[in-house]
Amino acid sequence: MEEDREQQDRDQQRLNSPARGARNKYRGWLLPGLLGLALVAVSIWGYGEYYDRQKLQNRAESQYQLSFHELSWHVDAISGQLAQLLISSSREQNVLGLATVWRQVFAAQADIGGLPLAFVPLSKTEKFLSDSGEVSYALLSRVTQSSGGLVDEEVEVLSELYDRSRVLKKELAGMAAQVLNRQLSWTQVEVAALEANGELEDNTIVNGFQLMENKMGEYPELNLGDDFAQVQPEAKKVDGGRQISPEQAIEIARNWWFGRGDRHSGALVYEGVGDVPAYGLEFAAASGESFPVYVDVSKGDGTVLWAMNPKTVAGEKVDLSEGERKALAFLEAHGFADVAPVKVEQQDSMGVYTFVPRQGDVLLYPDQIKVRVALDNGEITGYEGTPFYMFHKERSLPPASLSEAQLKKQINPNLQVELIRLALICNYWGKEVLVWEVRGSYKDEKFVLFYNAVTGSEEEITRITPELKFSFDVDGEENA
Amino acid sequence: MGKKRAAFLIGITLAVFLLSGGILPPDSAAKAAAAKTGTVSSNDVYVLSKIISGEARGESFLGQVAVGAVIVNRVKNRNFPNSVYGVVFEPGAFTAVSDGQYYGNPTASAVKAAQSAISGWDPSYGALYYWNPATSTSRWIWSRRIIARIGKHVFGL
Repeated sequence: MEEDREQQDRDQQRLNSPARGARNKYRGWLLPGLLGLALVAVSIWGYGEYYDRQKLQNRAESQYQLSFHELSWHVDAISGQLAQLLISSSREQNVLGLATVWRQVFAAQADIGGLPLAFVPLSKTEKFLSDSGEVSYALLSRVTQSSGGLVDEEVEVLSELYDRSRVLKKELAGMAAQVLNRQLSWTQVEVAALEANGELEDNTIVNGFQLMENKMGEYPELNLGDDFAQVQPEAKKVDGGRQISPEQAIEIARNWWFGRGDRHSGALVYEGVGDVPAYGLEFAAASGESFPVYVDVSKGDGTVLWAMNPKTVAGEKVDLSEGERKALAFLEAHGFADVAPVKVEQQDSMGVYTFVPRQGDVLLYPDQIKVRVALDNGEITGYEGTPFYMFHKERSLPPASLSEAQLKKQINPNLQVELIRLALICNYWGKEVLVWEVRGSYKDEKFVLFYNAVTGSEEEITRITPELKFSFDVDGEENA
Repeated sequence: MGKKRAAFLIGITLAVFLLSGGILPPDSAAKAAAAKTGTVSSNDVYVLSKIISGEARGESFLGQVAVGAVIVNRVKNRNFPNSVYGVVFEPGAFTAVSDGQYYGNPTASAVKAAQSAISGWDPSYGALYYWNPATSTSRWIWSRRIIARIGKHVFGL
């Protein structure tokens, strides 16, 4: 019986599998083996990921290092160039020096833009750079228009800027040395700042920038006169004493946009408390409409500032010139009697038209109004009259001492002139000037040139070549 | 046979890891092909609509226009870069760029908001900053002068 069993077992073994004995022996190793293999695979994969990440981080780091050291270098160059302007007595050197400062300021601003410093307030440093840029540009245009060099007050402003640049230069160079010496990493600053939600303390780089800001703060803010600084155009004074209620605003907006007797229900959604105090209103879509309409009304005197209807525009059945007629009719119906179209833009299936009011034959560019027309059915889908509200008033205009005939002799023959008219513009320095507006083209490019109608100088050239159009994809969801 | 089986298992393990590696990053290319429902024809509008999509998804249309307007206002401001790209890609300026949400396709609503903002409609009235008071703990941002509150965002100068 014993023998039979053994025989049976052996038979069984032979029947099942010749290797069964061996398998039994290794079965205990199967699971650990697999886990081991998995571990090896994960390690290889993980190292690969780590390596790739490190490579990317190094690339970002080198960009940051470049921007930082370039910033230090550019500020040093600005400082040196300002000093050079202060010691030079040649007009040619002045022009070159001012142009160099202007260019280096631009580069330094780009360097700051390339650094992960969104969490570090740098307003004083940025102010120094924009002041330097503005002063150098103003002096450049002044010196090139006159025969003399820099005058005393101008030299004084430059020396004020130079004093500030010395602080900046010294701090930045010190920081640059620390970054090099202690191998500080900008990507680590960035990551740490994101993790700390902007409340980074005890970080050498961030502290260094903060210290620099504080030292810059010890100097009084440079108050550039009208000759240097771009001043904000003066806005019309709004009667602050009277204030309308939100209910009155809703009533005004409803009558203005939808017409008298309309039943759209409006609600106050926000209040603007900036330079133009305003009620932000939303009129819910009525039956048959899919989108609400937004209208803003000034708190002071209940003027409609802008309105928006974000409806979906499908297809184009109305052309741009018919759209312009609709826009003009809309403005006339809303009390804008004498306006001229100055810009037409097609934005996908919408026409965006800019109009300016006229005073006599003069176009008042600062007081512009925009109207948007859907090109599927010609419906008005937007009105933007904030500049008109802020700036429109009766101007006292000087007579144009430069005649159109004189102007024509002055225009460069390369320009294919399309149109000449009188206009009031707000120039680079924020001052309103009476100009001759000349529109024309040169090969692919279209321009508007503004000639001062009193002095004859070219105030400004603006490129108005339409941007190239391409096609991009949009997600269908969230059609609100 | 033991060898074969081991090889098979290693193969499976590796395949799983390779696949998971390939699947883990969001596959935006496939999504883009599937969801094309409209087009935009201007670079600036498109970039703006992408950042609005990433930053203000879930906000009202008005809130989206306001976020777009802040970027447009920065482009016009002397202390910020003077192009839409420059402002959007300033390191650390927008979380949607830092965390990659920017790289998805924009929503139709964001495109409309971007078109309005670029044409000059500005519910923020000139704001240069916005933040979400519920999630932003940065003390510095509260030193800004608040000029409007729209939806979850506060807008300031």
